[in-house]
Amino acid sequence: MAERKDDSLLELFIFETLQNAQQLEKIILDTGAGDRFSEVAINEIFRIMHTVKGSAAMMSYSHISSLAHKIEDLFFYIRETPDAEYDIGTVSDFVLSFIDFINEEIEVIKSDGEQDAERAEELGKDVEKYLSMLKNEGQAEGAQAVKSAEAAKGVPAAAESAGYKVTLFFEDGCGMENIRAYAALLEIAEYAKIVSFIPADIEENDRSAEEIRKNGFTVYFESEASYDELQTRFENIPLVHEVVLTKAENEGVALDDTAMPAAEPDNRVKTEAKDQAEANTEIVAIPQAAEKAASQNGSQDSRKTEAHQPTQSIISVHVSKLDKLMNLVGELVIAESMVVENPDLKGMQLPSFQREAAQLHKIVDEIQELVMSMRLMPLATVFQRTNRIVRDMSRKLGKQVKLKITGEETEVDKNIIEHLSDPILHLVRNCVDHGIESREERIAAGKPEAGTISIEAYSAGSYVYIIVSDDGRGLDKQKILEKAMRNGLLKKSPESMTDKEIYNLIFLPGFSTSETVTEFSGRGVGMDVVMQSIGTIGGNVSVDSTPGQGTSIMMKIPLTVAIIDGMNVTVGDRLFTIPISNIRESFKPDLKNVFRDPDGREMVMVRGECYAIVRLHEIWGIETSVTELSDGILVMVEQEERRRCIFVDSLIGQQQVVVKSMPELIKRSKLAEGFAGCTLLGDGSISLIFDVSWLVSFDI
Amino acid sequence: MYTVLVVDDAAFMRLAIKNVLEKNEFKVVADAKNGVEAIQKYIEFKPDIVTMDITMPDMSGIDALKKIREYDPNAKIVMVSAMGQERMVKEAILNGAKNFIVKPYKEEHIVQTLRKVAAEN
Repeated sequence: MAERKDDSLLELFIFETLQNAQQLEKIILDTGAGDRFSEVAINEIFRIMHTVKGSAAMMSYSHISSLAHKIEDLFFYIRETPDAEYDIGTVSDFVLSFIDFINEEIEVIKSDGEQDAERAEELGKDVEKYLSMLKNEGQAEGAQAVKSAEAAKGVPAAAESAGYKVTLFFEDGCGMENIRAYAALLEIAEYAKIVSFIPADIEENDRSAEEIRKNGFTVYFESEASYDELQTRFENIPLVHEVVLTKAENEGVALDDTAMPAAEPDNRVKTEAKDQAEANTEIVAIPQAAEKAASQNGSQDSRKTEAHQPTQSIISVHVSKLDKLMNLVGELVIAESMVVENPDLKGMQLPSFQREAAQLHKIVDEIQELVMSMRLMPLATVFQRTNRIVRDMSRKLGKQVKLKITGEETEVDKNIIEHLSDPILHLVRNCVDHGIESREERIAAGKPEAGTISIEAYSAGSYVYIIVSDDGRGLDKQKILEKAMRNGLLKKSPESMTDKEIYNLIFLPGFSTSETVTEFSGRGVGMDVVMQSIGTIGGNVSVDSTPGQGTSIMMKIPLTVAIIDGMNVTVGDRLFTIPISNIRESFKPDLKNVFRDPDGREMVMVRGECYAIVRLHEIWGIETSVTELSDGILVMVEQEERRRCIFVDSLIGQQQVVVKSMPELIKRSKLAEGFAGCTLLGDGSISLIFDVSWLVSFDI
Repeated sequence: MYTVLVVDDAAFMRLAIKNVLEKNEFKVVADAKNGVEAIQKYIEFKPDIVTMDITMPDMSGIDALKKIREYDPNAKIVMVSAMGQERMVKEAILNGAKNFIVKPYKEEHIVQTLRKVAAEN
């Protein structure tokens, strides 16, 4: 059936459902250790289940909707029976299994595969069984509320029943529209099976009356009754002023207004009914007060059009479009400087051109900033997933683990987020599996029973730092050394290695400290994968550990990789770009401060500190007339508190440059060492961008 | 012609409702100023419809509704409520009230509501 559905509808369904699943997961995980769900959580879960049920039913994914329905029932019972003795763990497991099920089914739907109705049924039965057990335990009084509520849910539909959508508009000024809607719902439930209704919060939120006044009250339901019969029934509801009844044949044409705004036909007026008949949709508006309708026809149409297009302040855009836009903006930045710094204009007095050029620059700058910000996503999307891992693993491993997340609002480029997800999840898994000790062990060590894993993110300069740490047993130096030795990874004698060097061994390919392979971590991939992933986005990883107190792993990641502020310099006839963020200062050296250290390396003393001098022309064998320090200029660069002074012929100027990666062929050779990429300058010449971390660390 | 029992603790409201109804096809056969009285009058007059205020001394409209429905499960009772009584109206509906009107109401609203409720079978 899926292939017959409109693609954009399906995409929206998938998008929304996944979002709902994610939110559901967040609620469950936020609920955490308590023994009951908060009222807010219950209502929210109830609402989400409801939405998922409704949209899945509209898309004819009946197994998803029926499972959602069963869980909804369970939460309904919990909500209406304040003293229900449910086990929060079991109920959470149901919801989480449901989320897993949805995630997997969505994958299946995407790939047009076979849907797993059996699993839905199985899970559904478990939920039902649990619910009936709860009900039996509950008192008779509690059951009463559920019964009346179940009346609202409706009778099971027979196989022949058809799907309908009805929107009821109540008389102006009749008051309590939400309660009216509720009453109508109870009535409809007597002869139809209610699938969903909008607004969904009529019972608990009296402000929904406002929405009903504006957009009417929409109910999706299934019924065996004929169209005319239904129409009459609706018209007979007191104070209903207008009924818009639509029959949806199996296509699932009638869609959830709020869930699928893009798919909503604009005009739901009677004149269109014929035109749309071929789309298997019958749309009829029958105003009850005919004379009123005649005089207000125009205004009513527009009101309804409005009603079906809820205002949205967020749209989703395909990432490929953003990527393209980003590329184009890159080109725009280059083109701008090509025009403004065009050699043809050299030496000309062009005051008005300069003024306009400045304006152009300002606008281009703003566009660029905007596009970059559009690509930024909060780390929360990645961090949230760790909640689930910690919960699942700690339950399975019988450890108590608290997860502390800070700085989840820190934003980084989407491209970078994608590379971060796996490493972070891996690190967290490691923490729970290997880092945190068992309860007994912790008690014996005089630590709090529950271990703590904290994930912290903050941005500083053009970098984002993410630190994953635990208060577990810490890394075992001896074990690391033994293992490294066994795997032939040691290059130095163990005695001469610092703690940090030993810890860093865990990042080497082929190293894994876990002796046993568990379900969660230690599947043969280790910290080297983390290192690699972070490396590809230009970041780096370091580890720190204190035996008995825990381990912390810090990742340093560039905010964005696309456009940087650079300082262009020349060496001979070559052009190079140094990222401004790495430059401390530039100066003409005073020769009396220049000397050689015992190893013969050239050093310069600046304000009492010594820095090594890097002669670029010597490293790359560039011919230049500037070989005396007094003729050129020194640029002090810094990376991770390591500084060196780079000797260049001259500074050309500061400019924003678009970082392009080196051609694959060059990247694979040793030639690219020392460079982070290249860029095109305004005059069309190519400049190589330094990799400052290499500049400050290579052996002189 | 439908017979109506008007229940409200305020004489003004009883009269106002009576005036509206008797301009139309309704006959107010009795009125009551609290829940206890409402039950007695219902049993005595067997009206087609009852309009029932919610907040009244002695016995609230909801309790009276429950008692009347106990006595006659087919009793057609329309609640008369004020803004802000959403919870109580909901409770009334769950307990078998046919519908409700909200004070201040428009004349045609109360007439339409009673007309439709009366026509139900």
